[in-house]
Amino acid sequence: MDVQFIDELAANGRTPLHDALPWAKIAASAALLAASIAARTPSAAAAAAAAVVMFASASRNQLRHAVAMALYPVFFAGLFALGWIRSNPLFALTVVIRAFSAGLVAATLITTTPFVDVFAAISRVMPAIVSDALFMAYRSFFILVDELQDLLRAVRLRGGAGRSLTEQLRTYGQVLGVVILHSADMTERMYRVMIVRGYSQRIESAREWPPPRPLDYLLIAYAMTVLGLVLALR
Amino acid sequence: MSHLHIPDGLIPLPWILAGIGLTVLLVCVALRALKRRDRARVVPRIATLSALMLLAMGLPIPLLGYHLNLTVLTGMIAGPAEGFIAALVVNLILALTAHGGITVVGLNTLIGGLEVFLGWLLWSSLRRAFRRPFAAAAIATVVVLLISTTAMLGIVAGTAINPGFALHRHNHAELAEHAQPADDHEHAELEESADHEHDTDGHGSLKAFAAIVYSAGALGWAIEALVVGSIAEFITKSRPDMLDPGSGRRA
Repeated sequence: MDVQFIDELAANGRTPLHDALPWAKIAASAALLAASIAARTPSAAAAAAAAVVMFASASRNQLRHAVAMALYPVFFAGLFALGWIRSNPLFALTVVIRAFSAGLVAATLITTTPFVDVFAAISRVMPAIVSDALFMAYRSFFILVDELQDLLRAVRLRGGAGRSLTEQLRTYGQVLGVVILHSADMTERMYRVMIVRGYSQRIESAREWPPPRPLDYLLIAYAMTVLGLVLALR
Repeated sequence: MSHLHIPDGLIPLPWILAGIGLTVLLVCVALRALKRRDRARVVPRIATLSALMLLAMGLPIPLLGYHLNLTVLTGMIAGPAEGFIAALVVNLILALTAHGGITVVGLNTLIGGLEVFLGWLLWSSLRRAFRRPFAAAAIATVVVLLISTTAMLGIVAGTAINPGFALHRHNHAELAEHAQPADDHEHAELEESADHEHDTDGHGSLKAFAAIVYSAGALGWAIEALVVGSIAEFITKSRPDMLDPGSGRRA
């Protein structure tokens, strides 16, 4: 899970899916996810997967990154599917295909839509504390990643984390301890900034979305059609 | 354990809904507990702790393929209310990166929340019993992870995604569907035979699954315990107030 890389793909990509409105992509993704999960037979699951791949291929050369991310849930689905292979191989296959489709939907959404936009949509249905924490956690993550990388570089320059695994783990524990101490200071700074800027119990997203275009309606219509077909196949 | 690496499409709908429902309920309880606290202080703390958990999860342990979670430490620092919301934030972000299913966010948050709560509870009691914070934090971590892994196994058994249980259910369904016994007596015998099979195969399979999970997990718990113990010792030396069980800022 490389959040930095995902963020880069989402923020700097120039594909038709990047151009679509976040809420349209979220709605289409929700319908495709439902279609992937609702598929009961291997053929229905494969049809849903093909539809998801078509959706994801609109992200052009980013498709391979999304597919790579989707293989992670496939691995775990494969572990569970192993138990069904002898008794019900078709069901085992369905489970693996479903996991791939669902993973690809999530991966495509997040590699073509900046986290901030996804959070802005989520924040409409979440309590203020949760949505504000989502925004700030995301920002804090990048600050802390830089700090951790600097500290790990310093450890390496001074001879490494230790010879034995125990020694290394204790060193990493202390490195994380330093990061946690700094994060406490960061929390204090954030608090002061929020007070100075007049935090009004909720961080309002300043993002203004343009009116929907035909592409947005097309995405939703496509996903709803796929969902309808999968449900009809049940 | 911290999160179930179960993809979408495996957990039955009633469990998904129960997980989401219980998570919503516990979020409401946590929000109520935090109601009188300064939100401008609470939100950054939840955010940085969530970011730290995500950061720790991105640190692979060489050769072992295990990643840290720091949920116990989050409970020790933030307490159960802030910690539960941090667990939800982390699981939402993880689900969006295809690391754990989107529909499993509720169940994953419950597992993470359990670790946060027990981490806070055990640390509060063990910190006074042990002179060295390392020992208290390490023991708390191992006990919490043992319990959360057991909870995870409970979910696996309950949802029947354990291969052995599923195998039995399919066999049972096929028996019931295709056997079409000549009379009630024969039918009863088939049912009895299937029930017996459930007792042996299903139970045996869960036991085998549990044995694998506990033995593989034990190594992970040891690693997490060592790291959390080292962090606790380091923080106690530098900023003892951060891990003080008597601190009034916890909810």
